[in-house]
Amino acid sequence: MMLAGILAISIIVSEGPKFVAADAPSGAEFTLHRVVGNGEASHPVFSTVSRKGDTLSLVPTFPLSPGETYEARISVDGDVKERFEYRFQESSRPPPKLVRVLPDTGKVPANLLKFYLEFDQPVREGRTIFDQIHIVDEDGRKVYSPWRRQELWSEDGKRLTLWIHPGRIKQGVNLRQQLGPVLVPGKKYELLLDASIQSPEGKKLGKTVRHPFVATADNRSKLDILRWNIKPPVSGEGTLVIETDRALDPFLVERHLRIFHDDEQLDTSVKWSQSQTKFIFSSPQPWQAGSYRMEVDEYLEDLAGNTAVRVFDTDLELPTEEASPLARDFVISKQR
Amino acid sequence: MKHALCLFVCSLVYSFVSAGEVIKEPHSGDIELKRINVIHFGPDGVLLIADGAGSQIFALETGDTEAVDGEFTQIGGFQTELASRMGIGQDALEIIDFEVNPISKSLYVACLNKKTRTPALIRIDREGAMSPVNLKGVKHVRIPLPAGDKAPVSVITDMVWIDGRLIASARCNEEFASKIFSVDGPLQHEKSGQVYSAETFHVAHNRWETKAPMSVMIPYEEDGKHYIVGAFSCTPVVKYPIDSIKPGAVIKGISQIELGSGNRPLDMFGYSKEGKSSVLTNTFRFHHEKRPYGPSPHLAFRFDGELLAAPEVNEKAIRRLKGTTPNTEQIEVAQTFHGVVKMSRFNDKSAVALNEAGDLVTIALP
Repeated sequence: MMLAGILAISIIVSEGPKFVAADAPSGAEFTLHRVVGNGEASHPVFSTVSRKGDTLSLVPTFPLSPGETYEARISVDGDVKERFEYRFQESSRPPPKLVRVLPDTGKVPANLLKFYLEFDQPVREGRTIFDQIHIVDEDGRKVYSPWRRQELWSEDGKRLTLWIHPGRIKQGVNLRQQLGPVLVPGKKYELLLDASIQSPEGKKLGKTVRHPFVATADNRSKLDILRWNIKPPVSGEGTLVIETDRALDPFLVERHLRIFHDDEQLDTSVKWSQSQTKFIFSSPQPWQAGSYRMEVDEYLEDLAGNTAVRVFDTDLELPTEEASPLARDFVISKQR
Repeated sequence: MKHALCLFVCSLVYSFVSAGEVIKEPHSGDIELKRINVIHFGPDGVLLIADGAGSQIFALETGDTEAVDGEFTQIGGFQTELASRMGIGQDALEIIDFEVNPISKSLYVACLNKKTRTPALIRIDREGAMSPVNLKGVKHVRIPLPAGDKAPVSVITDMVWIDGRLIASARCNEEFASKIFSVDGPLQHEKSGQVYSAETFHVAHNRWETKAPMSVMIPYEEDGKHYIVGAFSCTPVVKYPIDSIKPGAVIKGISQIELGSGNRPLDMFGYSKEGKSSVLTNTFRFHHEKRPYGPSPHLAFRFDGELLAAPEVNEKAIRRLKGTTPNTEQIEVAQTFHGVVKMSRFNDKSAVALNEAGDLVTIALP
């Protein structure tokens, strides 16, 4: 219904959006509402309203959400005099897809500490994610309450770090004694993602995704870089290959394994094999012949959270074990 | 009651410190948040806003410092109404944290629009009126988290203001590491602090650990000495003397109480009632399906404040249960707090709480 045929609401999408009501009578109230399923509008959306002459402007305080329909209203003395409906179109982006699970090694130690789940686009955050991802054993039973329910997303929202509850991993701990370990050596499992996992705007995976793996014996020993095989390139082009005696967390290799030449850290990049035991380092500069050093931090972990400094479930009251070395030298020979 | 006094003094210290001593030379400008992990009120209406994704903590001078009397107005269907005001459905709203401003008694709510992935801060006054907290052109300081740390912090789990310094507990995304971040007041724009690792005796696990991150913290004072009291999953209550939080030191917590395994603490506060100090902590019981402690996985425990000064610690710390039966009347399940998802102390008589139905309610303290 128009007021005297002149009151009209329009929208300037490029300004936020901004809703504009021309020829608004004094005392008119300008509000914005989200239209709910039954066509009714709900409480007014947080907005800032300003008047310039006969024109009222309304700017929502927070970004409007794709897939929602909003209604701007002009009311006088509680009677709605004009309505304007605006649908914020969803993006044409297809539903999200799971593109990678790490570890992707097929076999994992039964004291595995975490998974990384990578999607092709951001996934909707929130604590419900822990009820949408399961570990299913070979008899099709869901493992009871396996996760540490702390949301850890990458900044772009595409990667979730999913921790198995440490209390189910550490030996002699009452949670493990009461509930048992999450994974048992020799058993087959699937990481199972519900079809209901969705993008922020609400597009669902649409189908269950399964990632099979086998649990092997627990790994409760420190990293020992002396057991690694370092395959240097000859000088010039080529790659430095480091083969480890066990699968490592590759994201921690990126951050906590460094290569030095003449005490200068090289700006290397690293790729890894599916087994997560072979790490291939490239340098933007040609490799120079000479002495090199590989250094790892105390934060570098294998799949069970063991570092070179200590086993994951160390009791600090026990006598301190000697830390494994954190650096190792190698040589790059001159090309013949 | 010495320890009732200690807790009481700690909570009152806030009121006598001016914001000028918390923040030095505030910056005027916009606060740009990537996420909000947790919020906490420091002295004199200064709101601390932790944004681990943005590697930063903001201290905002809210100016919301007018003390008012009266009760908090309960809001049925609060979560639905707040979602509507945000322009989304309830399924797209995540309430991250909330805290009552100890002076004005307004409730500040940190939430996330899961559709647009944008955080928001909302103020709800005592009468129930909701309004966005202005973050544009406001007086604040930004405290960047140290950039050079080998294992960068990605989530801040809780914060306290104690004895003129800000202390935050934090954890990393990829590394299994427990961190404590400390910065001395007065807080200055773009001035950072130090990050430390902590060791804790985990009573339920019966061993010393380095890596379990603290979930919640409160300030505590005993015989003139300042501590932070923290709770972890599974659920030891631990105190750390804050004078141990200094460069080069190994920060060792003293485990005082064990609330039982299978719980993840969500909020905690101290209060004094009828001359007796108590601490209330609500938890999510991930063990609920197999070993329930009540009708809901969300439950709360009350314990006597004096247990924080008990001489029996670590492996001898007092436990809530002896087998499956209560061990002591000094630690109890708070029966009126079943189903509480979030809570904040309103005064020494009541708490403001969000229940599983999404209502904002007030509950008398036990």
